[in-house]
Amino acid sequence: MKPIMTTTELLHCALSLGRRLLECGAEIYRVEESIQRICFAYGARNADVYAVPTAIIATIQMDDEQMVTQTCRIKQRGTDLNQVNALNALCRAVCTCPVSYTQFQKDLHDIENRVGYSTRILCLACGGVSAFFALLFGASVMEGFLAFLIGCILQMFISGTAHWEMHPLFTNLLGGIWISFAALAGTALGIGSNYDVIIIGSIMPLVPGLLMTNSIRDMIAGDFMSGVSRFSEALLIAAGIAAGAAIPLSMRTILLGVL
Amino acid sequence: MGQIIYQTVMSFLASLCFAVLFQVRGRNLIYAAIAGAVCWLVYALVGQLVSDEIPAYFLAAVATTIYSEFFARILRTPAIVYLAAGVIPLVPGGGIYRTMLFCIQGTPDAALSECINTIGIAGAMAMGIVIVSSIVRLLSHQPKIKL
Repeated sequence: MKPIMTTTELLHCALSLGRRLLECGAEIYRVEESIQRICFAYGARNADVYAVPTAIIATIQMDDEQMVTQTCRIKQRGTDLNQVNALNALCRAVCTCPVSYTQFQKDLHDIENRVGYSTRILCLACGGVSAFFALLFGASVMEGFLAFLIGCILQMFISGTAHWEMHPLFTNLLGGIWISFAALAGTALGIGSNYDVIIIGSIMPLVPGLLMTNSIRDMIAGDFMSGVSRFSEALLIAAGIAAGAAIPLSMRTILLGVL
Repeated sequence: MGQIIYQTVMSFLASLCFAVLFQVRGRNLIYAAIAGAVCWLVYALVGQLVSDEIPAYFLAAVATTIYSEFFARILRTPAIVYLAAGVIPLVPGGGIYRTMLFCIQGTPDAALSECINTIGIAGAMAMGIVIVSSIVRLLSHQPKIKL
């Protein structure tokens, strides 16, 4: 039987899927397993995959052929669970019923070009996260409303500057400055009295909690490289937020002499 | 009790909004939001029984992961879709904020202890998630047991 794909085509398809999975925030084991399963489904005799959050290396060997290796550098990282779900379904479908190279590329392309939520909905959601967390931590209704506004404007800023590809540390620094400045200004104007809960609620959309939890999960599972890589990313982001939020608070101390 | 219900509703809504930020769609949104409610409910109930907060974080993570893995099997989606938004209410944003606050107040001892506590919370959550998902993976890779 003639194989549906050549070795290079197979490797290219499997790695494209793996890359997209990593870019959308899937777990390391899912990426490695998906690539391996696709390779075996297309009749590879051997498939070795090594994935870390910033790169994938895969080597496969078909029957009586030379080994082929391809690497893939991952620069952009985010969270898009809808695509993870779709890619997972594609991987399952392909493993039970292999498709041709062009069909595979077309399916991948379709998933990649799915439209996400509009900026307006994202702004409302980000405001909602800020407001509900502020309320969860004991804010009054007015303080919750202030947190909602801060969150909406924060997401406008993040969406608006997304195409500039700023360093994540810088984005979070500016976000932190905005949040604590707005919370202090709001309480100074008399909207609520407790700026602590407003700041804690509003930084929740930025806090790398998922990243930190995943990094410890990776380390416990034995993926030390990705664990350390994610942990340092999380620390960097947290440091950015904390440093940003600290600037208006210290300015206030210097100007007014109170904290 | 009334306060626990209020907080559970708030964490339901917060997880719902977070799921939107994570681009979760359709019915999965509701299941992800319920994961957040389950998470906070377990955290608050355990928090009432035990004075130390680390076990509460651990058990809440365990409960959320069991919930996520269960619905992941039923609805044929990766568990991370529910888990990611579900454990968000436990994320120690307050810990990071207080660490920073103690730093600029010039009390490094308090800042260090708050920082270690924050990492401890993240560790407890991660242990809870890892233990459940390892058991589920162990069971589902056995051919005879259907999960």
